Amino acid sequence: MAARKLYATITNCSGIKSVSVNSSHDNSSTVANFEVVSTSLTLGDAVTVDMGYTDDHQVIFTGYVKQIEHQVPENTYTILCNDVMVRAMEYFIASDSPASPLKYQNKTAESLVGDLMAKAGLTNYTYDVTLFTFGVTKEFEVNLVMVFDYCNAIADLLTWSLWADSVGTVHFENRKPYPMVNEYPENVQPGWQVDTVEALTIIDTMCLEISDTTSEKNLRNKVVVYGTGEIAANASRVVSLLPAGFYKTAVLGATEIVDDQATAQNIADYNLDMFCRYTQQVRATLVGNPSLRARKVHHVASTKLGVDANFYVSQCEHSLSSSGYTTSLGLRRMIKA
Amino acid sequence: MAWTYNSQRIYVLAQEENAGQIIARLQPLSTTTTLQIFGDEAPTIRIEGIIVGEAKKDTFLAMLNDGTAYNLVGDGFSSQSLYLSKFSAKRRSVVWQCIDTQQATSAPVYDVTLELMK
Repeated sequence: MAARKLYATITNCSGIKSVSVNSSHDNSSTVANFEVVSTSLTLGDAVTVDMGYTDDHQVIFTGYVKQIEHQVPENTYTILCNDVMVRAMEYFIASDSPASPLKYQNKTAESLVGDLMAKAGLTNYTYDVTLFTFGVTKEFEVNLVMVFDYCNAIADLLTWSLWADSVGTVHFENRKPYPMVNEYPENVQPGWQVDTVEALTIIDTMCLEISDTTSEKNLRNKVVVYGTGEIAANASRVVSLLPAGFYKTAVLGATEIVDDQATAQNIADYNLDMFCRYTQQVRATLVGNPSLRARKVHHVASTKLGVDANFYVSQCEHSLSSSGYTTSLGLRRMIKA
Repeated sequence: MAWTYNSQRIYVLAQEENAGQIIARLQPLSTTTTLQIFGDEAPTIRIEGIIVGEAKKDTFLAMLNDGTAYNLVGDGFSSQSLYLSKFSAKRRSVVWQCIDTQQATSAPVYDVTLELMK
């Protein structure tokens, strides 16, 4: 029975009792929480967490101290940190004069996000090309708004994602919360890239526990599109997951831009294909692995569950304490109904 | 060499050292147990012995709350600076002592237990 020696270092801390780092597709910032015996950290200090095993450890968090709690009689410190994205979350754009707000014209989405992130001091920035340009014909203002709120609204508009990784680089990418291309290449849109499936396959022998949930909560088997004037189209599909004759409907209103029947029908057909999917989620707690991260795609091959498919890591939590080092994953994929 | 802690004489009857390693046992599905070593516990030293005199007992009690590490020295024991974490004293029914000739023959005699930490 091989024993591995655990490893953890945190900037300006000693006597580490526990560490937890939690990142999720749905959260704007990764959160690190640790309990230590001694620290010289103060609020706002930069922190990195490097953890794993003495023979295999990685930096899994880069961020800033947001809260320090000193417990007595234990005389320990519980420290809460957010990743570097917190700079954008707390940077408020307010011009010195209302008469001269920050303005842009003819600015691509990725360039706009990059500029605003830089104002919050986030210059390690990587992005995909969006093909979207704002303010083509006239200037627009950016004022009295948090950098993150503004940039995340752009990401939402494009159904993209905005996040900071474990080493502090900001990403603005076309990242959907499921494997995007590999399973259904017929639904690929311009700018979608084939997911890189990580080399590590999640198998039963890595897992301390694993569960599998399927849900039709987000499934829609009917799509209605409203265009200009009388133009309207719909598409529907009978699915065995729902009662016979029962339809869950999504409505897309595009009255300004859809002005012919064929386009409306194409939109309805395409979106039906995208919406008519149910969700499969796998939750797994693994023997700790410092290489695992949220927003990656892994193959899951569990004979215990009968699961054998690619999944997107929508949540990843690393926990290290005297009870051991574990990594908990929330994995998700969409399946055509 | 006589046993002393912070230069206070102890007539040692027994000495015990305890140490440990913190090992987590994780049980994956379909395979053998994984062991993870979190760290090691610093040794604790337990001394059982006799002290003589009420003032000496009070000196030990005072060492429980001063937050200072003191030297433990003794026969066949490498001198170490240790904190006194626990001290218990039980008075013996003795009317005449000749254990510690520095003390009065009528001085009280205590069975003591010291728990010391690095």
